[in-house]
Amino acid sequence: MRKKRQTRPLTDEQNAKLREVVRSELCRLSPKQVKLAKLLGVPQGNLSRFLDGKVGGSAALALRVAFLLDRTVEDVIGAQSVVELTDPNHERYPTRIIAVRAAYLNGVDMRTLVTALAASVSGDSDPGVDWWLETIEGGYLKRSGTKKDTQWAIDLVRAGKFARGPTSGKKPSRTKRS
Amino acid sequence: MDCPVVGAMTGNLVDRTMLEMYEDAGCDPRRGVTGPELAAKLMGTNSLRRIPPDRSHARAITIAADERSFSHVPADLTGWRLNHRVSQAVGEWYLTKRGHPSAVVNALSRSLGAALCVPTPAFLLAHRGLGDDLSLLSQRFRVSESLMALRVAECEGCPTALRTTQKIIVRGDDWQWPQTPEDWDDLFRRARVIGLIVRHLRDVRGRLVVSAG
Repeated sequence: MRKKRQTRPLTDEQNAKLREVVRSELCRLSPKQVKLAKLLGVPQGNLSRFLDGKVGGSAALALRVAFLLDRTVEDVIGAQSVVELTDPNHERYPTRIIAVRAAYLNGVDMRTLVTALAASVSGDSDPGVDWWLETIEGGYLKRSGTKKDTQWAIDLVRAGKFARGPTSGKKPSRTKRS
Repeated sequence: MDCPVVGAMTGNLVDRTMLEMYEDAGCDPRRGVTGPELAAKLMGTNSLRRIPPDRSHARAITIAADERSFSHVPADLTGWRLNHRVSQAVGEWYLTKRGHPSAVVNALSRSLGAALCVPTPAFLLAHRGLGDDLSLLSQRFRVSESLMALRVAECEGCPTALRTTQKIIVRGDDWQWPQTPEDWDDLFRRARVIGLIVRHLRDVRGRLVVSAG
């Protein structure tokens, strides 16, 4: 069964800042937690545990708080920028950075994202955001080459024939947060 | 036919880099080696990984990070297609490693991949033995007839145009090539009449090469 996609949690510092903003500004405007939970689109129990510091918030919660207060997400979680993610080859792969940022929000570790941004793909065109996201989240970038497959390629080209036989290994497991 | 014309992007940098790569790999450019062999020599003996074609969408992806360099290649590629893909990937990896800007890497990787498959010294030797027969030459270097035709033009200088379903690629010395799609159609129609050599390639359907020498 396909694992449910997990959203990247905020750091402890970001949660503390967000909690402070909710308490000092939103709780003042909407003192009843059950009403505030509706405004924030979360169950009241979750909001209560968040405010008590028992659980962390999510990027979606931060976005909602920011929108309600007409402030930036960076402002309500106390960060200059969530993360610096830029693509040095943006002209060639215009959709890659979108996929990388989405993967970041989905909890993919930074090392995998950096690897994706350093990758190059054959062909003249950008393979598209779906391809990039599947490649990044599918864990394929962590699967390095093998001696067996390198020899397979050498033999195949030498022979000048069509490929035969099974492909390497099974589908890799989904990327886990490090 | 309304398709873009792609000019030659080869030159000193491509030839120089190709020779440099052969030297680094300890290979003889008079013999020529395949892309996977170069990958094994330059990136490591575990540098390639074949992946299911349904996942790759026929793309080869090259990763160079954290001292690891490897390339994923679709498992359903034929011999020469695999050679092209890996050669281009290795060329691109090398240009990037050498610190060339991405614009240069993007512009040169195809030409470099072709030059790696068919190094000029190896071509000149093979040409002496096999003549102009594209089929024999392409078999010798494990490349497509299309790539071979373009490399013949680059190595010998004869002005050559290859028409695919999507574009027209010109190689070799400067020549008075047409400027409009209509004029290109006219040229391909009257090629023999005006003294050009016309060859139909057998590796990919519908490909046509005309050359002026």
